[in-house]
Amino acid sequence: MSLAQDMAAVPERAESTTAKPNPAWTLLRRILVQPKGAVGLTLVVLYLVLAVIGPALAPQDAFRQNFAQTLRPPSAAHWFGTDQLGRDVFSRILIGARATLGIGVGGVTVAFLIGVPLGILAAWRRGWIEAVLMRAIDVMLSFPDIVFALAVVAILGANTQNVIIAVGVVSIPVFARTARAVTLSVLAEPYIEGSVALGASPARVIMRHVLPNISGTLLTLSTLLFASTLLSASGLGFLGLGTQPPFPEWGTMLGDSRSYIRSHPYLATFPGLFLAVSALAFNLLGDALRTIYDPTSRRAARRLPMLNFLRRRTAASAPPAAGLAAAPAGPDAPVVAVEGLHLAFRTGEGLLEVVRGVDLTICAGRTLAIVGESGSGKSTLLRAIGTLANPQEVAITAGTVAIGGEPALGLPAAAVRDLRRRKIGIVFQDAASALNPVLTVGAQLAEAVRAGSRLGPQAVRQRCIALLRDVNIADPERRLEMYPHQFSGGMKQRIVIAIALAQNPELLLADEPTSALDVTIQQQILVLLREIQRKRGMAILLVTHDLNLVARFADDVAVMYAGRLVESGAIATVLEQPLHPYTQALRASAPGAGEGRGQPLRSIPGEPPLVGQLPSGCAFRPRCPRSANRAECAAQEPPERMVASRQVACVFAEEALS
Amino acid sequence: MFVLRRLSSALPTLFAVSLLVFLFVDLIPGDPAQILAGPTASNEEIESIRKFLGLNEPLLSRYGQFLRGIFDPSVATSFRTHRPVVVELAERLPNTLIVSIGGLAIGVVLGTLAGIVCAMRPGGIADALITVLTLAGISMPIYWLGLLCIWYFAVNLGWLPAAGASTPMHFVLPILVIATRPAAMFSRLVATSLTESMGRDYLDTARAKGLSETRVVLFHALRNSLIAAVSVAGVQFGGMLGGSVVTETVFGIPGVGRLLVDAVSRADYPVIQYAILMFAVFFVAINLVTDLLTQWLDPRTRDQERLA
Amino acid sequence: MNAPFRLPLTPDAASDDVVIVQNVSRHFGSSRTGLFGRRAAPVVRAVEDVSFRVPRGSCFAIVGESGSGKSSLARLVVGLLRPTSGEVTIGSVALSSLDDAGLRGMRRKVQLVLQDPRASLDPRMTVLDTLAEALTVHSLHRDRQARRERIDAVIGMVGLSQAHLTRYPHELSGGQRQRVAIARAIVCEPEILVLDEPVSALDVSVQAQIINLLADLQARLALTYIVITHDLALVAHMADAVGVMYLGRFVEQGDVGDVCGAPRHPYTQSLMAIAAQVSPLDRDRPATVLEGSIPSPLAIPSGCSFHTRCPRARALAAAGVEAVDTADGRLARLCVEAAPLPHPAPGGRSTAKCHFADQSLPDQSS
Repeated sequence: MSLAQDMAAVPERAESTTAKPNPAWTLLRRILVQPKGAVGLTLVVLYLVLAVIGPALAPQDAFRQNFAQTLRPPSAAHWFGTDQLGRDVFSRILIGARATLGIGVGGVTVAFLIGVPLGILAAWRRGWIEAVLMRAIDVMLSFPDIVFALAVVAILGANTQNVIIAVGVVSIPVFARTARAVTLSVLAEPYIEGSVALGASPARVIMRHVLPNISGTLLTLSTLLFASTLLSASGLGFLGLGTQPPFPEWGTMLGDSRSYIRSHPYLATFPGLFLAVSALAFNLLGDALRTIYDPTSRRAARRLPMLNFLRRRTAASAPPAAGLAAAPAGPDAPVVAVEGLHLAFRTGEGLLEVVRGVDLTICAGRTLAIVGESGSGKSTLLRAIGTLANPQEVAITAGTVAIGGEPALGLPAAAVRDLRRRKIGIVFQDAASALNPVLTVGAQLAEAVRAGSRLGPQAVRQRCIALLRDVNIADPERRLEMYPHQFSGGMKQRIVIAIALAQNPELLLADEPTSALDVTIQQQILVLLREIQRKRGMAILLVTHDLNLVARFADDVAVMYAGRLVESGAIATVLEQPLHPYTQALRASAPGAGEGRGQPLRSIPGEPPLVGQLPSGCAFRPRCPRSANRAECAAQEPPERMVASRQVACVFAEEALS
Repeated sequence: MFVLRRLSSALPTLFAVSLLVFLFVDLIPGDPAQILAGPTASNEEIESIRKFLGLNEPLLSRYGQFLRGIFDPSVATSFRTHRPVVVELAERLPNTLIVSIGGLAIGVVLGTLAGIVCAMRPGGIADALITVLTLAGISMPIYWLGLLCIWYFAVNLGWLPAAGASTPMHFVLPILVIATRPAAMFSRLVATSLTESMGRDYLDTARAKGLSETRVVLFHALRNSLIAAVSVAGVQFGGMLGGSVVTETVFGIPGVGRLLVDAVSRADYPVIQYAILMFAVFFVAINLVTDLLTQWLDPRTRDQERLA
Repeated sequence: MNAPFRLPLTPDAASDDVVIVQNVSRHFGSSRTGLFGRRAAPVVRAVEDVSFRVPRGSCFAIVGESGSGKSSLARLVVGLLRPTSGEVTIGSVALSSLDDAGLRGMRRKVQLVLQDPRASLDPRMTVLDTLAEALTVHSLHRDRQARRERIDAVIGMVGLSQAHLTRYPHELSGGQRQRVAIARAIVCEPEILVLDEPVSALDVSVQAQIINLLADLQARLALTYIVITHDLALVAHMADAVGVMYLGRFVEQGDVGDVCGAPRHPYTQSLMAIAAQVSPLDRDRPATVLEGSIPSPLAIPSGCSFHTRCPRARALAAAGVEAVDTADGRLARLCVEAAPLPHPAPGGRSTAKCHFADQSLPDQSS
């Protein structure tokens, strides 16, 4: 996912402040900025306060029976009415808070204190300890949790303390299992190996590196389990096997109300409501914590869901039909024509411009390579050209793209599909993730072949076999039945290429097609692509960070820096005599570029800028050896102009010629 | 082949489960016979109860006896009704199966559909509504939900019967109530894993083929995310099944769950033992099905199995 | 391959070899047993009979593709893995003579820098905490003042400022993170740094900075480097000696001028052909493209393990050397059936494990 690389250069907001606030406050702030977190935390705090001071607040004696006042509906004297023994329900609920929540706290604490150390131990020691523990957990998880709790209560007898033990024991396997899983994944992190390589002792690694990094997950789990523990414990109470009368507990109160549900439904309403809202509060808080600690859910939250609807419309309608003005497709018309393209990431703070005005054309049979570092916007550009930019993440703010003479932006869905089918093939960096793991290679190829055509099954199969032959895969008949994971990395990339070629596209887009492969395999794939291009005469747009690869493979090159093409032209022109200082530096800084052994490399100072944090004027200015604080560089973004038969965006490009 | 291997790996679990359930009586602090007989019983009474329970015999032969009881009705009888436990269980099993499997199935189907809707139109009205319902679903004590349903649909509207199991209509409310939890859990799981697989490159590969978005989601993304959802859900079915125990009590359905609850409050140990064993076996079976399903959905696990 | 051999290079400087790796092998999965019965797990021969010596103050590079065993070899040198057979000697201490605590103490002398600085720093520790931990672990500079001075000095050495000390890893750029990782490695004054792909996760324009920094530090602190990489151009720039690894073995090793300048093993030759800077003007000259992919380390080919992909074995068979037919085509019999011994180069400064290392062929590219 090189798009992720582009996104990685988006600055992480608010966290680059220099002041270091207390971590607890940071966590609190991150909970409160989420609506569900704010609501959940508020309710949880209210409930906990209730549990502490509830008995003091109770307006009436919760235990005094009054047979003259049984089963009264809510009134000014008894806000929640009275129960079958004439006791004030409101007071009983206030007093019951302590028992109800106390059981939850006790149960989770028991489970945490036993489960977590066991899980960490299993992950750290592996071997027989882990095997035995996992077996034991399997066995415990073979009982539905309430049944297990019932069994514990049946053994120990029904009272509050035993209910705590029962619901606690039920949650031990959940804690142990999760603690083991997250510990294993943290232990697999390179920083653990780094710390071990430093010479840190096992105890130190666990205390200083593992525990802090799993605490978030465990906190989330505890909060979520608290909700379900509360419900199971009250379930036992409901069945008459929990806290024993006359002491109030919400589940027990619900159980008592069961007999009166027909005549006095409000009796069940209030304990049920308090119970449900408390579970909801902990679930909300747990969800908010999960959003903070679980990176996969964080990405979903970044999207600002409520605005997506609007965005989708703007994305579809933004580029006016200017693309129609593109020249009609003639024999020499370029396969791809991009004009003034601007792309921006949608972030919480608005749009961050990542591609800032790109013009390019590729003719049939030519290969254009876009070379750039992470954050240069090269992958985003490639996806936008391929009509595959996710409208929820990327906005096309200006410009046109035409493929084969037809406009490619702002089309209705059916026209986009048709364009993709007939004209575009795409190859990704990571072939393993570009193939669907659960479908056979044959099924995935056939789908590409069948799209938009009416071939019979036999013809489709023949075409698939022919495609696999085209990418030099031996024994294609047998390979069709195999799944992607049964192939090596290089073979997978060949299959991806075969899929891309299925409809004879005019344009093949390749996003770092060889970076994930071993060097010897890289060569095979590149030779294959060139061979196919020679046979079919399609245009190739290649995106890469590797200038050496470009020299070997492309016809034209465009060097991209901070969202703009700073130098582009024929490969021999640009690489033999680069004019832009960035191109020059890239060319000169690679080892083996003519420097003597042991001589320092000619390095570029500084680092590529973050998306949306560009200096004024020329974006390369702070790193540029040629600029040296000259006013012209800061004054304006240097326009692209023709110098020595290539486009270059540097005010002083001519200086490299002399 | 895999089925056999998986079955054989379930056997040790079943063995451990049966052992645990069997030892259950010995785990009771103090003398079970003494507890059963009550504080006023004479020594002879206690001794005869000990004999009846077989507590004086060696452990191994008692375990053998316990296992025999699964098939032989004469071995274990309920303390309360003095009828064979196996018969008691067999009479109630159909009700429990209808309620729990029905609830589970309906819940999983509804949950999957809701999850797909959420993931396909993130940020839409349907997504917001389902998210709220889901949160409510996992936070709702199902015994309270059951009571509310009885009050509204049976008492207030009079559409459905409130309690019992004599007609098919009696099962409608319990099944729907039980379905809430699996539905809520499954819709979250499916929505999460579907959203996660939405960012995968292979979906872009599929889009680049010119497929429609619906086909991309249903054909390419869903199957992958179901693998994750099913394997996670396998662990949580226990929580979902537990609902049937309480629900049977709420709706007065004569099922195994209610039998178990009654037995616990009356210390009817043989019934408790065999009922728990039955639930455990049932649950191990569901886990087995889950594993087989994952296996069938995911070719990668099939190969790992072949390699090992 | 069976006879333990000593590298012919600098036999007189043996006393100053700070790292000596002798016939080291590491196999994985040989003794795995499940709880229920033994599973016949296949043996992965990650490292097989590797020997080399690194003189003090020099740089030794280990080159290979993924699956070649180069990362396992790095971890064997640091003592994170223990060899199945063979011996690693650091200074004059044999690692096999140390227990776990002893190994931990030894790591003060041998530090490891990992590939991806984004992942190799604990996300919950500031730069200061990270550097201080290294000192705490080895009980160095216990005095608060002395500790802070040492950290300030080191952070300056790697080209960062004190302002960076309070930052968390995610607040740093890729290059800065790698500087922190290097600072952590040198803060407790080691003698040897093992660098596992030190620049491959960095942006192209930042790589050169880090390479220069490493060269600078090596000169200033008299460090000995062991660099693990897949990039022969980097090796040619940095290293004094090199071992080229294929399927767990060194197929060619010795002086970097010999190995990179005039490679004799066909595998090194093809790697070198790829690494050489290409001028776009002569790009139509065909480069040697190796066929096939690296075989699984579970099933290492017979004879010379490279024979399945070797253009030389193929060319020799075509040229009339005694040959056999295999699944990979017609190949020279010797390559398929006999494991090659190391053949020293004419100058004696490198060896190649190829039966036909000394045979010059007219043209292998066709």
